[in-house]
Amino acid sequence: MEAMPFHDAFELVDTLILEQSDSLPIVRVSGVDVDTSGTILLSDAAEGRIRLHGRRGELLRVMGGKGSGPKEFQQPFAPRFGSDGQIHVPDAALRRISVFDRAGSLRRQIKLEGFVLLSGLEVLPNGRGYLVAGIRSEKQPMVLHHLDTLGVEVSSYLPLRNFVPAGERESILWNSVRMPVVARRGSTVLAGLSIADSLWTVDLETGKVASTHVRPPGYERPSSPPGDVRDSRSVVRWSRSFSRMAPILATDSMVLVPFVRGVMNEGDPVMAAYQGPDGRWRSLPVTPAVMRAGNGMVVALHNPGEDAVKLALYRQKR
Amino acid sequence: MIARKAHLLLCAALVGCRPGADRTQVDDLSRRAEVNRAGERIATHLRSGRAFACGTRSPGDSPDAVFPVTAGQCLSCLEVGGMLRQVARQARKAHSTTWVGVPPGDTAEVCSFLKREKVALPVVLLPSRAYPDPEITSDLLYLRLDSAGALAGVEAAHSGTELLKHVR
Repeated sequence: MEAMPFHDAFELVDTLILEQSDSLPIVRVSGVDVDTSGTILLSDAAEGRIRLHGRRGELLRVMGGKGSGPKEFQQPFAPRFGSDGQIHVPDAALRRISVFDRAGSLRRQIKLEGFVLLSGLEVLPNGRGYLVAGIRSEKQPMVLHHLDTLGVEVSSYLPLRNFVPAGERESILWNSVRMPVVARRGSTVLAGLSIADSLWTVDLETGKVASTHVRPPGYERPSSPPGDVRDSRSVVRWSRSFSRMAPILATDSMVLVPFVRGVMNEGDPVMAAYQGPDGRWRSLPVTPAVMRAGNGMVVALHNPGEDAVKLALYRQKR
Repeated sequence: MIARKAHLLLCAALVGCRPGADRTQVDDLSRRAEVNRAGERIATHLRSGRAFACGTRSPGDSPDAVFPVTAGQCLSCLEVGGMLRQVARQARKAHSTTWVGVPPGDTAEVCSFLKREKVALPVVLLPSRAYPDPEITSDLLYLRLDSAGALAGVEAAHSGTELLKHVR
């Protein structure tokens, strides 16, 4: 895989600082989306909040708060603007999707029965439901689920054949780093598993599945977890010792598969496999903390780990 | 079933706060006694002198409340950050002085954690020996001190959410 600098593939268009205050801080960004007007939707897993910011970063609205009640969140992530104009927010801990209108009113909540892990969401257009990356408690777990708008499974794809990387022993610690990820490009779904380097494509129309390896140079395969799961320092060291596939970004003209050694929103090193308009895969050895792609833009955290939360907007170079 | 069990274990190991081995091995009276002794040790230490590790220095000289934490608690329990942010908000509203305590060996990890979690509280060094014996309890502590720095009360809980219920 040929290497190219990130800035040869993307140009920085704008940066903006998201408004926050002592009473409404942004602590742990767990997902971002941007709509066609430039409105920014952000989830904060630490504060259990969903925030809407204007195109200059001004705070427009806050939804949620830490808790388990109807309008509350424990671990919101991957918030999405739906084509229906509504806001769809999955909660990894409460295993449900909350749907709000733009005014912040809760319209409905969809309980995701049977899921033991929930790590990715895409909203399908025209009321066709959701694509959920996650693991359900079942005999042969699948990692990709097409659910209707009521949360009923329409179909599922990609059996989770190996719970641990080849040659590694089982440990509950794998569960803390093993996350299915998903992105959508038209009727094609792109999916992966954080502890692997395969990118799967599923054609929703035909059900056809294909895979390719997207291992950029410098990729570190997962190492053996520490024996003592209660030794927090060793666990943290281990979780930062290998490359993990982060949520995939996809548009009509590109696919970006980021790999992070550590935590994306804490400023840890990120590299990516990038497929541009020519269809060739290249590696981007130093990549910003990319969060979302859409409307011809890529959104990244500009200074992850700092108090001021700054977003960078990049445009793909042709 | 296996996946569910594994996930529950994961929550205990990484996401939730660990109740610790003490839940089954040490009776409640012994645990409570050790919590009280630790409270006294920490209050005594703070009356004799204090050094700050990091954080925003508060204007008051004497704390009204102290939350001693360790790196292990911060790294294994995501709730600690949320609890301390809430505590900091309440302290600001009440104009009270609240400190976080840290053992010297954990300073770097705890200070980095608190910065990341946007917890704006002063962090004072506490000797490791002042903390509860980890063989007896790994609970999170909340100390209330009077104006003379004497221990007015100490609460313990295995999670930040539980401990918050005791915070005045």
